[in-house]
Amino acid sequence: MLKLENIQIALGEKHIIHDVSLSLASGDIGCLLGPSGCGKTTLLRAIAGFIPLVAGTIRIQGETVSSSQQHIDVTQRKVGVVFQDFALFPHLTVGQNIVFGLHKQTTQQQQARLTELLDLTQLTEYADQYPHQLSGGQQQRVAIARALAPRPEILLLDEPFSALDPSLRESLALDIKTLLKYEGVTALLITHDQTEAFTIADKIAVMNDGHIEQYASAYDLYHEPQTYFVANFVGEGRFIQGRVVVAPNTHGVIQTALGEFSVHEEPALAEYEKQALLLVRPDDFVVDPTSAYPSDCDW
Amino acid sequence: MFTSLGRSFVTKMLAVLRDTWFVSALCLCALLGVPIIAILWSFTDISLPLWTHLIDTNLSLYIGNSLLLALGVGIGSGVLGVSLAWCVTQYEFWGRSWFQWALLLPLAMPAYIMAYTYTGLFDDLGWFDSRSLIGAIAFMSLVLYPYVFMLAKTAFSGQQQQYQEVAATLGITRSAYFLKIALPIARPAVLTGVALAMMEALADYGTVAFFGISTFTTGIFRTWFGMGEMQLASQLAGGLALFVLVVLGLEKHSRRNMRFYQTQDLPVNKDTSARARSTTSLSVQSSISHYALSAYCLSVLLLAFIVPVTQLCVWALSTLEHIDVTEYWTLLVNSFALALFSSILIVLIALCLSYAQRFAKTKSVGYLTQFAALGYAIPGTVLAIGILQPFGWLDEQLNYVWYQWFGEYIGLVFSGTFVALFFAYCVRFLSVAMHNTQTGLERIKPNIDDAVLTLGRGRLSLMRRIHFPLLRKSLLAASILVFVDVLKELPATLILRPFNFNTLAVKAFEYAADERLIAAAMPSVTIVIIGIIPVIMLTRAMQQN
Repeated sequence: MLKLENIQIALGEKHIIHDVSLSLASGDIGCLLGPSGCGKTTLLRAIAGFIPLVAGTIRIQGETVSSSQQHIDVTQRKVGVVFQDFALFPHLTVGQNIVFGLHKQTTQQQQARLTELLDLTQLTEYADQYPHQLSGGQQQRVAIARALAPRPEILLLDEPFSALDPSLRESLALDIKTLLKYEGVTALLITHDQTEAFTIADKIAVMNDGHIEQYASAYDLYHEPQTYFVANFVGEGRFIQGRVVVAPNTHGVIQTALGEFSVHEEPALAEYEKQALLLVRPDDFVVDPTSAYPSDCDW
Repeated sequence: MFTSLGRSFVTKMLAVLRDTWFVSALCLCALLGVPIIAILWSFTDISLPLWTHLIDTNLSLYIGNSLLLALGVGIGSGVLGVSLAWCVTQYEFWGRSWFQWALLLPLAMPAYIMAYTYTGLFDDLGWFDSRSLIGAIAFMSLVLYPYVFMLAKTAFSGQQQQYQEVAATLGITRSAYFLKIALPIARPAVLTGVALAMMEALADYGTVAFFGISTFTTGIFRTWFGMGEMQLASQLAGGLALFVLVVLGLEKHSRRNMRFYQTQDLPVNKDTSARARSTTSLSVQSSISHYALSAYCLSVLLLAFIVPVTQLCVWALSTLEHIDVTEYWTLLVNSFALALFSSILIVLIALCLSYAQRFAKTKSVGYLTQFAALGYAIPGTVLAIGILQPFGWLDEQLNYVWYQWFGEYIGLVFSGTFVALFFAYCVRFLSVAMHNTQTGLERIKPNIDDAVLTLGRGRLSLMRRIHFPLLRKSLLAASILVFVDVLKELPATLILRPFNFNTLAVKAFEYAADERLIAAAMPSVTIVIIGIIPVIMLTRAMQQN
């Protein structure tokens, strides 16, 4: 559906994205997660068609839309974008905003799609109101409805919750997920908030400094982080200093101050006798009240 | 190595030239820069005998009077503007909220109209003759103080209430607070206002010509039309332009050093700052000083607006019976058509440049537009000279070529026609229009553009469906401001207008110069009444903020 191959992007002289590859299956919701300045917005804007590529290709539905030689104009790509500040047209009503991208259709078609979307986003009674009369969450739904109206092949969402009240974000994120799944649209959102990413996305690409550290499901990112950055960035946890040594009948063990822990996979030979870091998540601990080794502990 | 560097430079230049927005902005700005270049060009041919003659005779007079005038108006308008702004922002007294906007009304009054109205009034009363430098300073200060008033008022009311509370707990009185805290914080704003007033004073032709004071502007006229020395006039114009640019530069410089004073730019919580402002306590005075404040504001308003306007109205009514209706009608139509057409033209150019700044890929468009906006600082007299010379040359060449081909002359195409006049207005008033179009466009967030494009709509649709409706107010405001400025403009119109073409401003000035002050009243009143429109707009805009 969406396929990025070895993408490189530069803004001016500065290389922002180095060699990023990623693919997203039809109907899936993907997420680019990373700290600010990691290049996720740049990547999103390149997919939308605002920024040209230095190298690599972007394919949507098998069609190459961006490469170093080719660049299909934004207006020609079937890409919907929900902007961070929603960018609703302030002088148009909710209904006029939503049908704005349906200019090639007849009035009846526009009206049918509008009714459908208003119903889906529960905005029917607000159709004739102006954006400034709506709450933040309602404005966001208008922005999504407007982007969905022309039935884009992919929907891009740029930090869709950052303009909203933090206490509402999680429930809104669930609503949005239901909405996107109902429409069956392939979507890619970017965020720096992992709770949002975990709530909405099927697959998450953790980005750092212009490249993807790991592209996996939320479960795998949490339990099987591939790099130190991912282990540190995703979830809670502590690192404990240790050393990898050979032990009989195992792939080896990590010796730490807390004791020895067996290694799941066989490490490369060169890894032996090296310093290692052991990641401990809060849910790795099991409290055993009947233990032979009681300990006092401040919660 | 060197060739590869050269090649990369060439490819970069080609990339820049492919950017249509940049290229059109470059062409427009180059065209608008022609008068400045022409003035500078005149310095390539300096005639020593003429200059020695000028230095021996009038030059010191020109420089001295222009400097005195600018300084006097700077001080006069500064004192008036700051004191009035302090009154209306700090004290509660009778008519305060009304004075807040009414004190801006003198903006509608061109200085030359003010000058001859009072001269006529004093002549009638037989008190004294106001035709002097002191008189010019006084009248110009009275019509130019609103610049300072407006900016100082915003600065004073934007100052945080906490400052005053801190000062009060430290036992500082309100007058000491004014000198030690409020004024220094407001200084950049006050200086900007003073600089504007000084620039207007330096650019003035109507008042000084009417009073017969030898300044740069009257000197330029005399050198050009009296002595017929075009080069020397251009060089004098260059000197005047330099004066103005120095004032402008000083103002910019002073602001740069004092940027840290601007408290409004600090990221303050909106709620708390709103609360702080709403609790701003206006000091309530005892009844005597209460009336003294009202009396002060009222007397300034009387002197600067009510008395001269009433006098003008009385004169205009007295001439109503034997007024030449067709002449007045022609003046009205001429002035309106000229102002309307130029305002449309100028707003279109301003819009084009603002769009170039938004869409062009190179940042240098910003510098280009700033350069183009400099025209506002150039006095109308200087501008006219800077246009007449290159346009005259162009006409000469055109006629020569035309004669070679067709065996006849086509006459003046550029100079002495409306082309020159429109061009002068474009250079002079572009920045007025651009200020509006730019802030209007900036208010439309770039994400809105992106949203339109992702919805499959093209760039034309973006402008027509989204930008135009959102910009309508800014465009209208820009047009009205330019319209009124063109209507009031005197020196450039006087020099560049086609033969026998008169406007309200030109006719008012000509009548006054012939000492037919009463006949000048009707066109003058018209100008003042139309001039009130932007003042009302300004007041509205300030109230909305």
